[in-house]
Amino acid sequence: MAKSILILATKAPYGTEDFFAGARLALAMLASGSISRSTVLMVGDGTLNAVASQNPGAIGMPSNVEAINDLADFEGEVFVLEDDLKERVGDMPLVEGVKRISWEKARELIFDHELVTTF
Amino acid sequence: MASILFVMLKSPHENVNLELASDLGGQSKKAAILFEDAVYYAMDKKASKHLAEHVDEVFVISDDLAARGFDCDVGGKFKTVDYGQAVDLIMQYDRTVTL
Amino acid sequence: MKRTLLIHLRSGSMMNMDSNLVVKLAKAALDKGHNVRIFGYGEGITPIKEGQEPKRFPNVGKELTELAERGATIVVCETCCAARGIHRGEEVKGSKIGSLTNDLSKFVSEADRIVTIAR
Repeated sequence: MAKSILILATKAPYGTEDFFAGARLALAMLASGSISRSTVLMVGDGTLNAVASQNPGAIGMPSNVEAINDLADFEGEVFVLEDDLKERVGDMPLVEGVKRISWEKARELIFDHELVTTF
Repeated sequence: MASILFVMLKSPHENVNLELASDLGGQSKKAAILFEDAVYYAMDKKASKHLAEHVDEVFVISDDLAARGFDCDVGGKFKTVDYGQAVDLIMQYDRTVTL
Repeated sequence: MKRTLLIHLRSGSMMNMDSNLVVKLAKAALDKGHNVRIFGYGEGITPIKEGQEPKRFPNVGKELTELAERGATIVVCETCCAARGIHRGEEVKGSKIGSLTNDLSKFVSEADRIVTIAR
C-alpha cells in the first residue's frame, strides 16, 4: 500500500517525451489526493531537463519547464543529480524550484519513496 | 539491509547506464534481473564482468536465454530463473528500478 | 503472502517484446496468488486496441483479456489514447481506457511493488 512514488528521469529533453510524461504522471499522483509524495529525480541525461535556458518553442514542443512549474504548484519536489549535470554541461542555471542533490541524498530518496518508476 | 533489484531489458550494446546501479544502490544489496536482450550480458564476457562490478547478483530469465540459443548454466554471479522466480525476487527486494 | 504487483508498461504492442514480457510476468504473479494491476502509458496503451491480429506473433490483446478473466486489472491512459486515435469502446475485453489521476493513482496506492517495462 504505497503513499509515495519517485519518478526517475533518465532521458534528455525533447528527443523523447519521457520527461514530460514522467512529470505529468508525478503531477497526477499529487492531484489525485491519494498519493502524498510524488517526486522527480533527474539523473544521467535526465539532468538536462533542469537547464533553465531551454526553449522548446523553437521546435514546437510542450515545455518541460511548465511541467516542472505545474508540479511545484502541488508541492511536488524536483531534484537534479548535480555531478551528472556538471559532467554534461557544466554548472548551468537551473529551472526555478529544482534542487541540486548528491548521490548520497539520491540514495536516501530511493528508500524514502515506496515505489520507483523510470522514465 | 535495504535491497534494490534492477530490471534490465536492453542488450549490453545498447545505451545502458550501468553506473546508475552502483550510484543509486550504494551499500545496499544490489541485484539485476535480465529479460529479453539483456540476457546477452550473461554470454558476453566483457559485459558480464562489467555488470558484475555493479551488482552483487544477476538473475537471467532462462526462457529468454534458450530462445537465443544459450540454454546453459551461466555460472558466477549469474543464475537462471523462470518467471515465477522473477516474481518472487520482485517481491523479495525492497525496490525495483528499471535501468 | 498475497501482494499487489503494479506493472507500468510504456512500450507499444509490436515495437518489441515488452508487452509479451508484461503478459508473462502478470501470469506468473497471478499463478503465485498475487493481485496484478497493469497500467499502459505512452506507447504502452496500444496493446489494448481491439482488432490487432498479428499473423505469427502472440496476440497480446487476447492474452490481456485472459489475464483480466483471471482477475488482473488493466487500464491505459486516456490522453495517450486520444493522441493515438484510440477511443473508448475500442478496448479489448477486460481492459479500460482510464486516467492517471483516477486509475493509476489508485493502482499506486494499492501496490506493494512496481515494475516498469519501458525503453
